[in-house]
Amino acid sequence: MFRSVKRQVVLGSLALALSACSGQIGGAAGAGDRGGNGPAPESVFGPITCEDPSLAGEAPLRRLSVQQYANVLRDLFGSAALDQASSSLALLPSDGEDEKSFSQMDMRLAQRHVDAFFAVADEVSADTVADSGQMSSLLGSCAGNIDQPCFEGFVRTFGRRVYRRPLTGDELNRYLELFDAAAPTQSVQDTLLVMLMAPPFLYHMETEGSVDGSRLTLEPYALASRLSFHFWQTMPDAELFEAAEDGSLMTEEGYRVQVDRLVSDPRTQDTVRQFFSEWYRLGGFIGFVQNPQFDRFAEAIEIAGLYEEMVAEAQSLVDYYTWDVDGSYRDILTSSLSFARDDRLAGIYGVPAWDGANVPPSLPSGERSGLLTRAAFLVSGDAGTNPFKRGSFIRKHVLCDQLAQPTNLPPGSLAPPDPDPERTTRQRFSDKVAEQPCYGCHTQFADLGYVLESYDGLGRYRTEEEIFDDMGEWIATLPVDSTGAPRIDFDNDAEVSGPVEMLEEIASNEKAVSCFARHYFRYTYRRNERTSDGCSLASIRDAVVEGIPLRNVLTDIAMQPAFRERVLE
Amino acid sequence: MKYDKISRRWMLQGLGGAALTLPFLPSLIPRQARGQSIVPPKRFVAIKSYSAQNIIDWYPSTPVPGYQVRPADDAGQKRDGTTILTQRLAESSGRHSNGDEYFGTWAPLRDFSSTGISRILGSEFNPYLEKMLLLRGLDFMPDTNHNEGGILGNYAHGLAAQPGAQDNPTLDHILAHSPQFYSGVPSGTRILHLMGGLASRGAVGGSGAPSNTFSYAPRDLSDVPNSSVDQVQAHVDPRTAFDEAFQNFMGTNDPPAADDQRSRLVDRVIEDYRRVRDGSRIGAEDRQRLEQHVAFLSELQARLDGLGGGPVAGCGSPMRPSSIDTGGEQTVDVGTLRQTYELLIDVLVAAFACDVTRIATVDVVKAIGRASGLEEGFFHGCDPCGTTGATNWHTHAHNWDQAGPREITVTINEWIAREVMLPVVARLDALTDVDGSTMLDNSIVLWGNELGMNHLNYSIPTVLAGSAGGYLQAGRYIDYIDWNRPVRFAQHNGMVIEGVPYNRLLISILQAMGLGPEDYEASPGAGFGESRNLGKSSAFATDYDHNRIADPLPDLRA
Repeated sequence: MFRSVKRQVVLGSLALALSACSGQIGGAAGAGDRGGNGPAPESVFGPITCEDPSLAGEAPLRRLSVQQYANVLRDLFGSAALDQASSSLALLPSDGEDEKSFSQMDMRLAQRHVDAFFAVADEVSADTVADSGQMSSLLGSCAGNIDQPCFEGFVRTFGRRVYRRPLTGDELNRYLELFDAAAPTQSVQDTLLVMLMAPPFLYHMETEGSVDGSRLTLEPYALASRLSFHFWQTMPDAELFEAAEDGSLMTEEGYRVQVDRLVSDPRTQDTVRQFFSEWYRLGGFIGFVQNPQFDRFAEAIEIAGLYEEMVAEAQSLVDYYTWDVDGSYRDILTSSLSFARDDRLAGIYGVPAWDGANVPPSLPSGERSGLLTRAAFLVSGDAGTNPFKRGSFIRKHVLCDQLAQPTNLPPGSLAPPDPDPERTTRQRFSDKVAEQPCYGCHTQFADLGYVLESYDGLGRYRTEEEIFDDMGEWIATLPVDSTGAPRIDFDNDAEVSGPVEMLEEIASNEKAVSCFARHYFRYTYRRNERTSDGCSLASIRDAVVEGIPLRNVLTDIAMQPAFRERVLE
Repeated sequence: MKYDKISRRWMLQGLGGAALTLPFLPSLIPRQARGQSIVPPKRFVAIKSYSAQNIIDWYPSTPVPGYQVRPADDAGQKRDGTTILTQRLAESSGRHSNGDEYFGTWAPLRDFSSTGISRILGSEFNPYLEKMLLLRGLDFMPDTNHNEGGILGNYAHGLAAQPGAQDNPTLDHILAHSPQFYSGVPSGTRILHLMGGLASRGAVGGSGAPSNTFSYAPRDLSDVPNSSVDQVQAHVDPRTAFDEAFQNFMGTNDPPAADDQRSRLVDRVIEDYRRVRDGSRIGAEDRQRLEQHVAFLSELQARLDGLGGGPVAGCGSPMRPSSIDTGGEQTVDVGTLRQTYELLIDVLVAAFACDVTRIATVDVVKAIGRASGLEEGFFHGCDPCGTTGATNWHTHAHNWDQAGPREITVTINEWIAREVMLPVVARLDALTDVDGSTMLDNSIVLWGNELGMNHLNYSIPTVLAGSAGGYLQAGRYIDYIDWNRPVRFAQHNGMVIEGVPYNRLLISILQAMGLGPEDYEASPGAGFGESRNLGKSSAFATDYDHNRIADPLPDLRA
C-alpha cells in the first residue's frame, strides 16, 4: 500500500512534467490573451565556452555507485559469492531516485547504506573463510596453516586489490594488529570485514599525486581506478594494476594503450548502453494497462515482453552506431534503420525482423528518424499519447532547455483532457492549455510533442487517429496533424512538415550537440557541470560537430587533461 | 581500542569545542548495556499551549471516593474547588527561608478514572493513566508574563521579559546536541519543529512560511549550555515538515543482531574514517561527507552495542502529506486547523517510528474551541497590541473576570487535550519499540503552558506521558504546592502559593533522557535555565529553596 518516500517524490514531479502549466510562466499575457508564443525560457546552463584549458575538473569524494559496488565485489570474490550475499546486497537503496540525470550521480549516503555495507561485509567475510577454495585463492598455499607471514602476505596482496592501491605502511601495520595466532581464520574474517567497510574501498579516494598549485595530477593507481570505473564500472584488472605499478600508465603512450584496451572491452559497451538508456529514460516504463479500450487499440498484439524488446532495439541502435560502424550522435538521432529483432516490434515498424548480423532493414521512407521515433521512447502504456510528456522531454533532456516547475496549478490541471469523438489528441491537449496561465509555458514544448503525433501509444506510425470508447468500441477516425513549429531555437517559428524533418533539425542544432556533451560529462564525472568545465564540454561538443565517430568521442574524454587531474580546495 | 573511551570523552568535553567536531561515538557512552538486551532509544515531545489557564479544569475537582474537594466559592484563598491530596511525597521539596521543610502530595491517577482526571483531561485518557504524570505547583522563577520559551527553560523572550534574564538554549536543543541522547546524527533532523499555523511573533514570509516557535537553538555548538541563541522556526506546512524529517530516509532495514566483537571492528573502521577525514587533501565538503559516514557507523555500532535505535515495525513507508496553507495569523478555519494538526501529528509519529528524529516540538498557537456551543477556530494573537476579535484566544484570556470568555479558553484546552495531546500519546503507545515495550514507554511527551492562572506564571499546568523507559514513576498526580504556606495572591479560579521551581522539572526530564549536569548546566550547580526571581515582587511567591535548584523534582524518579 505504501511506496517508498523517494519514489513518491519522483512520481510527483513526473506528474507535474506531464502538464507543466504554471501560473507564473508566461504571465506577461493577460488571462484569455494568448498573446502569441510565450517568452523563451532561460537557458539552464548558458552556452558552452572554453576559457581556461588549464582548469582541471573538480572531483569530490564519491562513494561507489551501487552498480560499481556490486561489480567490485564480484571481481574480488566471484559471482557465486555475490549471489550468496544477494540478500544483504539488496539492502542497499537504489541509486537514482533523487532525480539526477544519471543514477551514478546519486551521492546520497543514508544510514541504510552503511547498514547494508556492514551486512554485506559481514556476510562475505564469513562466507569467504568458510570456503576453502576462497581461502586458498586469497592466502595461497598457506591457507591451511595461517601464521603471521601468511597473514601478512594476504593483507598485502588482497589489501592492494580492495584498496585499489598498495597499502601504506601504517595501514598494513594496523591490519597486522588484527592477527591472533590462536584464531587465525577469525583474523582473516575480521580483516575482510574491516577492509570491506574501509574508506578506500567504498569511496573513490583521489587524494594522492603530484601537486601543482591547486591542481593534483592523479597518482597511477588512482588514475587506473578512474579509467576502469569510467569505462567498466568496476575496479582495475590485473593488467591495469600492472600498468600503474610499472609506471607505464603515466606515459602518454602507455596511457593510450590502456584507454584503447579498456574501450575495446565488452564492458565498455555495457557502459555506453547504460549512458543512453538512462539519459533517454529507457526502462522507466510502468507497464501496459489492461482494459477493453487498449485491447482494441493494440489489435491483439501480445504485450508480454514487448517493452523489453523495444528497449533492446533502442540499445541495439546505439550499439550499432557506436561499435559496428563509425557512427555519430547525429546517426543516433536520424537513423532510418530498424534494429527490431522481435516480430511484434518489427510489425509495429512495418519491416521484417533484423537477424542481428546483416545490415539492419530500412524503415519505411519518411516515417522515422532516430532514437526519438523508436517505440521505446514513444510507448505510453495505454491507448492514448501524451504530447506534453514527449515534447517536454525533448525540450529538457535532448535540448537541455529549462522548463520552470509549474506552480499554483488550477484544479484539474494534471488530469488528461476528456475524450472527445470529434477532436484529436492534439486538439484536446491544445484546448486544455489554450488559456493563461498554462499557455505561455506550454508553447515551449507543445509542438515538439504534437509533431510526434505521427506515432500512437505503441509507437506505430499513423496519419489517422482512431478513437475508441471505454469498452473498446470504435467511435471515430480523425486525421492526424503532425505539422508544427517546434521552436528548437526559440527565435525560429518556422513550421516543419512532420517528425523526420523535426528530428533532422534537432540533430543539426547546436543545442542538441551541447546537450549530448553535458550529459556525457555528467555521466563521466558523476556531477553536474560547472563554468570551469567549459573546456571539457567544448571538446566533446566540437568532436560531435565535426562528425567524429561516437566511439572516439566517448573515448576522447579520457584523453582530456581534466580526466587525469583534480582540483584541491 | 587503546584508550579509555569514557574518560577521553569527558576530557574532550572539558576542553570545550572539540566535542562537537567529533562524532558522537556510542562507544564513548558508558557501556552498561553492552552485551545485554537491546535498549530502545528515548524520545521527547514538547507541546505548548497558550495563555491563562483555569486551574480547576486542569486538575481533579469532582468528588471521588477517598478524597475531599476544597470549596469552590470563588472567594479566593484556598477555596479553588480542587481535590485535596493526602499522601505526602517521601522526598521534601526543600526548605523555605524560615527553615521549614515542605513536601508535595500525590495520588494515583487511576483513583480519578471514574470521572476522568479533570474536565480538560477527560476519560479519554483513562487507557494511559498508568503512563501519565499530572503535575501541579511548578512555578517559573523570573517574572515572565507571556513568554516564548519558558516551557523548555528559556525565560528571556516574550512580553515583558526581564532584562538580564539568562538567555540559554531550550531543553530540546540541549538534548539534540548531547551525545547522551543522540549517539549519532539522525538521518532527518535533530528536532522536528511543528506549529499549527502562523504566529504574530515574527513570522517570516507569507502564509505557509515557517513561523517562530518556542524553541531556542544554540549558535555555538562547542559549548551548548552557554551559547547565545536563535529562535527557531517551526513547520506550519505538514509537507515541508515531512520533507525535512524524511530527507534522507531510504526505507527500513532489520537491525543487525547485537554483537560485541563486530562492534569493536566497527570501532576500528570508524578510526579509519577519521584518519582519512583528517587528511591534508580532504576538502571541507568531503570532510563533511566523511563525518556523516562516521555518524552512520556510530549509529550502527550503537545497535551492535544493544543501544537500540532504527526504525520500528510501525515505520513502514510513510506517505508524503499534502501541502496545507494555514493562512495568515488570524486565519482560523476549523477544517483547515483540524486537518493541519492531524497531518502534523502524522508526520511526528512517522518520524519517530522511522527514527529519522527523536525530538519534536508542537506549538499550538492556533486551536479549536467552542463559542456559544459551536466550534470556532482561535489564534493566540497579540492583544491588546492591535489584533483583537472573537477568534483571538488572547482576547478571551484577558477577559478573565467574565465566565464566558474564560469558558472559551477551557474549551480550547479541551480540544488540545483530545486532538493534539491524546493522538500523540495514543499513537506512540501503539508503536512497539525494539524491545517489545511501546514507544510511549520510552518517551516523554510534555504538554506545558506559558502561563498558569490568569496571566501569572505560577502553578503552570503540566502533563507528562511516558516514563523515559521506566525512569519516571508514572501514573501519579503530584501537587508540589506547599498548602501550609499562606496564599500570596488569590483571584477567582486560582491562587498563588509557593510550589517548586519549574526548572527542576526540566532537570528531571534532562536526566531521564540520560544527561548529567555536565551536559546541561551553564556553570556547575546552576541547574538549568534562569532561576532568579527576576522582576518578582515579594508580595508574590518568591520563597523557594534555591539550594535545591539543581536537583530534579522530588520523588519523580521511579
